[in-house]
This record gives sequence, C-alpha cells and structure tokens, in this order.
Amino acid sequence: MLPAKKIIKKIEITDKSDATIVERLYDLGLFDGLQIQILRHVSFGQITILQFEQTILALNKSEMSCLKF
Amino acid sequence: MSEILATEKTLNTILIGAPNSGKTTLYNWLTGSKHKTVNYPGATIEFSKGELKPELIEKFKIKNFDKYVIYDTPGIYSLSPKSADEEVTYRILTEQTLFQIDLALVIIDATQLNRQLLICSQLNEMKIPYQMIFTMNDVSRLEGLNISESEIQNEFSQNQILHFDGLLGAGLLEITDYMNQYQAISYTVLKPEWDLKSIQNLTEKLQSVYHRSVKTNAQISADSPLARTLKIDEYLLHPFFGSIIFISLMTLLFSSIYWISQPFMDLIESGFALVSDVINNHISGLLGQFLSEGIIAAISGVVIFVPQIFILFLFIGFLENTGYLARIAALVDKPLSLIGLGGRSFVPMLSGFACAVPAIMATRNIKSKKEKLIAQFIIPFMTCSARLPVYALILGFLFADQSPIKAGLAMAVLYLMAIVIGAIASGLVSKIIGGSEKSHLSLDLPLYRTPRFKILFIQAIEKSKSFLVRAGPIIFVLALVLWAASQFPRNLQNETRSSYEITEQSYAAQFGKKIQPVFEPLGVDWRVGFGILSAFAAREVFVSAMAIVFHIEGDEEVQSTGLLEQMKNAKFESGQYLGQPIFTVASCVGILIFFMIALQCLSTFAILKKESGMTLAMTQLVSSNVVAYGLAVGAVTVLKAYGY
Repeated sequence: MLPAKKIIKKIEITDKSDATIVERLYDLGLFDGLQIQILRHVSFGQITILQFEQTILALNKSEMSCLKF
Repeated sequence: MSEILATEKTLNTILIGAPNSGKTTLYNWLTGSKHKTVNYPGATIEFSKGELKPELIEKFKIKNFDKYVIYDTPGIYSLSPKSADEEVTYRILTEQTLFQIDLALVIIDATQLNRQLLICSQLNEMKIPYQMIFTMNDVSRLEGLNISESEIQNEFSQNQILHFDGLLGAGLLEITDYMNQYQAISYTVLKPEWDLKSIQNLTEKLQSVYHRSVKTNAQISADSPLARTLKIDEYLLHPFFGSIIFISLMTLLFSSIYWISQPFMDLIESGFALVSDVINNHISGLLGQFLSEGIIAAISGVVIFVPQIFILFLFIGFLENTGYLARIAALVDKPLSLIGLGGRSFVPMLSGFACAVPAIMATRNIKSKKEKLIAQFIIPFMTCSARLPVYALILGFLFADQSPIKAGLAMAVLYLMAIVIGAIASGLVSKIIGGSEKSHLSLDLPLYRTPRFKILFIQAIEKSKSFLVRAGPIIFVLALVLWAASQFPRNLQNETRSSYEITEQSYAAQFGKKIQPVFEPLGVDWRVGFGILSAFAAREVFVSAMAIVFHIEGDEEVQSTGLLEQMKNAKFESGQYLGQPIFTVASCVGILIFFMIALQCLSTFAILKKESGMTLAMTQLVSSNVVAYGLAVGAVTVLKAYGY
C-alpha cells in the first residue's frame, strides 16, 4: 500500500496541545502548505510516522492533533 | 606565570547544531579523546569542553593562538528554547558568562536544509557572527539534492561554506585552518523575542530560500540512504516483526550487561582481593585492616560498577548512532504513557533492572523534565542485580524444603511487584508534579548509518569516568564510615577479641541494639537491623553482614548455606519477643518488602544527588524508606495476626 500523501493546511493549538508543541512542530520543519507522507502508525496506533523531503518524524496524538489537513 | 596567562591568546569556539547534525562527530575529530564535561550554572545539562588535538595544531604553518578551546553544546532545533538542552545553548550564546565566544560554528546536515537553516536565521537576528559547516554532503548527493551554496551564502551574508565528512574526516583541515586564521570581532548580542507568529514568518521565509537554493533531482536511485532507511523501517517498525526484533535486541542488550560485564567484575573483585591480601600479609594490625577492609574495599565498591556502566553506554551509543534508539522511543511510547512516561524513558527504565546507577545517568536523554523526574524516581524500585543475593537468601530460607519452582515463582512475583510499585509511584509523582506539561514526543528519526566504533568507545569511557569522578567520592567516604562503625571501638594496642566480638560490640551494633525497637515491628532483632543498615553501603552487603553477626565464616556460598542453618535456629536475645524465632514467614516477607521498596543503595543516592540535586535526592531517600518501612511493618503485623 502506498503511503498517504497529505497537505498540511494549518498548524494550530488544540485542547490536546499548547503553543510550545505548535512552535516545536515549526522548528522541526513543518509548516502550512507542506506536503507530507504518512508512512505508518506504531505503538498501538498512538504514534504516527511521517516523511517530507529527507526528514522522517514520529509524532504522538497531541502533536498530530495540531496538524489540520 | 601571571604574565604568561595575561598574554595568552585563546580562541573559544562553540559548535551549535540540531541533534544528529554531526556536531559531536566533528567535535570528536577536532578534540580527540581528551575533553571534560562542563555544567552550566543552575542547569543539570552537561556539555563538553576540549582543546584542538596537537596533531592538528602541528599542521598550522603559523600558530595564531596559544590555545584553541572548543565547546560542544547540546543539540537544538531552534534558539527559541523549549527544552532544558535548548535553554543551556541559548544561555551560553546570550549570557557568555562562562566564556566569551569568539567563533560559533553552525553544523548543518545538508540533507536537512529545509529546517536546519532556522538556527542561522536566528543567529543573524541575534547579531552573533558564525560560520556554516555542511555535513552529510555525500548523502545529499546520493539523494539527488543540488545545492546552490552561493545562494545560501548571499542570503545569510556568509563566507564560503565549509564541509565536513564525519566518517573519514574530510574537510577537517579546512575547518582548523579557518579557526586558526579567524580574526575575532567584538559584537553585542541581541535577544529577540520569537513568538509563534514570528516563527511562522521565519519558517515561511526559509522555505522560499530553500526552494531557491536546493533543487531535487527527480531520478533518485532506489538504494539512496532515504530509500534504504524506508526499506529497513518496513521491518524494524513493522507491527509484528518490529516488536520481535525489538524484544530480541533488548534481551541481548540487557543479558549482555550481566554476562559480558561479569568476567570484568570478577577480575576487578579478584584484583582488589589480591591487593587486599598483599596488604594483609605485609602490614599487620589495624592499619593493614584499615587499608584492606576499609580503603581497598571502598575503592572496589566504586570501581565494580564500571563494567556495567561502560557496556550499557556502549550499547546505548550504538543504538543512538545507528538511528535505532529514536525508533525504540516511538515503538514503546504508548505502553510507557500508561505510567506517565514517554518512549525516551524506556532504556533508562530497563537498565534499572541491571543497576540503578547507570540507569539514572541514562535519564539525561529524556527531554521532558517531568518525565525525567518520574523516571529517576521509579528506577530505584526496579529489581537491580544487587537485590538478587538478598532475595535468594530469604527465598532460600522460606522455600528450603519445597520445590525450587515455588522459589522461582516467588522471585517472578518480586520482579512483577517492582513494576507495579514503580507504576503506582509514577502515578503519585505525576500527580504531585502536576499536569501543566502537555505530552510531547516530536522525534526525529534519522537515516540509518554506520557508527564510528572508536567514538562509541570514547563516549562510553567518558560516561564511566564521569561516574567515577562524580559518584565515586561519596560512595568511598560512606563505605569507609560504615567500615569504621562496624570495627570500633577497639583496643588499638592489643586487641584480643575475635572479629565477631569486635563487630558485636561495635558502634554500628550498639546503634543497632539501641534502635532494636525500630526493627522489632519488622519482626527482627538488632542483628538483622545491622544487616539492613549495612545494606545501605550496597544491598548485597546484607548477606555478608548477616554472616558476620550470625558468626559464619567463608565465601559467599558458604556464608549463605551456613546462614540458612543459623537463621532456622536464631531467636530473639532481648526485647518483647525474647526467645521467639526471628525468621518467620512474617519477618521474611517484611524483609523482602523492605528491600523491594527502600532506597538503600548509597551509590544510587549519590548519583541521584548529582543528577537532580540534594533536595530531590533526600525527598526520595526519606519517602522511599518511610513507605518501605510502613508497608513492611503492615505486612508483618497482618501475617503475625494470622499466625505466620
């Protein structure tokens, strides 16, 4: 199965996250309009592995909740 | 001398960069193996300080500085600090109180320009002069990235970008030449406030720079490092095979902590025993005893931990440098989140089953302060190898005439109970600390790579040295105090009493007898109390201390067998239980519960004090021991009430 490609429309604070998490996501190279590939979910589906350019990241549910597609 | 110092010209260089950018690799090439760790005032985060290797200095035609000092700062993603690591790097740059920075080298992974240029933008805003060094240039070529360096140089007002290859060291001489030719300029650091909006704007600007300067070749070979990493991840992060591989690797890791280190620990033990014998044969009397049983035993008690620490950190270094450690953290994040921890806490927690000392040292890799505190709090509950001789003795007594399977099951229950207690403690600590910190993982999964084994060895040696220097003195002093307490008072001129009599009348025994009422609720007398107090030097000392007070001589095995016999017949010699047997089911369960929960190990206390300060270490020491005592007394009282 091919990994799912998605475009991040917005990165925003949710009730599961805070400003620090959002800022950290920007620091890690994510930004509005970036196309990413969701590679897989690990750790009982709690962690999402995603890739963009040459970067592979693992984000948990509260971090993923900030990414609006 | 002061004149020489006054005119000594030093170049202070710091290396800054994201985690996995190759910063520490460059640092090791520049400084070799000789460096020391520095603690930033008020912070527990350490960073390394070293000097340029003499063989690199020899290559200079003209040596422009007397000293070339290099600092390796903690890895950062941004200069808007969000973690303790970033805070330290930020303070080094902005405060410059420890040293004046002459030159900042920013290490950038050429395959990660899309995000690692952020630090450069921020340094520009702070008006700090710096020089860019690109690493992973071979990987970026294999990935088909065409980088227009002139575009980046113009954008960031930079000199010629330097390059460095971590595996072969290519580019090293250009970097050292640049350092030698560097003409330090004075500058005033600005401290911009970066809020979410400004970070968004900065990121947007950097994306446009990135797309202008980096063109990706659409034809990337199938065996490019990224493609290879994604292929390997199909197995290592596979829901089924990933778990099997992970469990196998961890089993190998932790069994090797026992098996590989055992011969070295035996060697250390017999080495010290030999020295001790030589001293005993040549120096008679109390001085000989002081040197052999006091000093040598105390040094041995410190050095004995080194093989385990070295092997653990060698493995952690290997896992980290290949890129697998980050994946482990992702794999176990959910199970650990159930007890308030994250994936990064896994290795320290598991290491706790071998020995709490290296395990607590390994908590430095945990980014979240809250998680780090929880992990440090619950690691001492894990069943470390020093508890085994105690458990073996007590279970051996309890199940003496029964099937060994029962004793084995009881041992398994003790291991399981340790995890349950850890989980409960974690929940409690988590509640006490409070929940203001949102859960974050945000892990970079680096491309898989082959580590440099020489560097892994150097880093493991550094960790072992750090343990000896930081925790060694306190363990040494306390071991000496315990020895003195069990050997005095005595007649310094003509001591005629046997070793048993000396111990029986020692300060430690007197103290033990005085506080017998404290031990009586545990169902034991002063002799077991003496054993428990001695176990504060190291848990396994309990067995030999019991052998001393129950007057058994011989090696550990002989002591255990003889002890079991003595334990069967041991009766209270005074107090409210006079004439009653000491070792009953109730008192044995009490001892097991106490050893399972109490924070007795002085080495653990020493390392806790070093990692999280005296207040927290004392809190942990007092609370663990009070709870251990309370629960043990509770269990003994209930069991006694039911006739056990």
